[in-house]
Amino acid sequence: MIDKAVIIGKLFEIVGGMLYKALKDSKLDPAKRVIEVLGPYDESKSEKAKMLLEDLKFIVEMEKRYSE
Amino acid sequence: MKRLLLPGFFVFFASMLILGGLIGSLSGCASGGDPVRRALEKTAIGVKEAKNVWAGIREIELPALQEQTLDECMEKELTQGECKDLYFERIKVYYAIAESLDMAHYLLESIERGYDAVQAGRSSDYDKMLREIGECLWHIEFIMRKFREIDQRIPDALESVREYLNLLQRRL
Repeated sequence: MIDKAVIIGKLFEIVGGMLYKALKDSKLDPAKRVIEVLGPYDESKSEKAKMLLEDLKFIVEMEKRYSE
Repeated sequence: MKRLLLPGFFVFFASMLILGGLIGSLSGCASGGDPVRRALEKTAIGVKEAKNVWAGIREIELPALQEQTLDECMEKELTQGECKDLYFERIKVYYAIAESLDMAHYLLESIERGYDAVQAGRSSDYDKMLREIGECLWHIEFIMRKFREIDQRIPDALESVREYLNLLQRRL
């Protein structure tokens, strides 16, 4: 009888320990942060930077056409 | 000994179920318990979706616009300078949208940092957050207007961003 209580106690200890570790490791607030959703704001990778690249393509194409 | 094994197992199983439910509900409370953070997250998701719609427009429509402008320059025999001016005049609206999307992204990050500081007791500057939310809202409405100008359907994501920003304003 005592053996069984010890075994069950040990089982609780193991499972409880695992649950405690899982809780400790996980963020208690799983709501995503803005930075996780959008990525950090980076001027060199911004929408404006992408537009500047498009402009470059236009300039190159324009000069090609005018030189033909 | 054997007689006790089965009830013992059931007791153990039931305890695990109760524990699991307790932990689940606790983490559920934590995630849904902060409406400001949830609204910030949903706003960010909306801005990301709007950026994806915008990327599609930029990748498909801008090259077509460039091609059309170049053809027109050749046809009207415009100089290189005139051609460049014509192009920049036409893409003004695209730049305006791109810059406002950047600002919305930047402001959302700043609002979140402000909120973190308030939560951690490092700041009580709610006014700054409210100003930034108002500014972000302005950019979203500006993008919506500009989308109409280039004859684009307003992405649903932008409508929801507007809703969540309004919600944020009310919550703070």
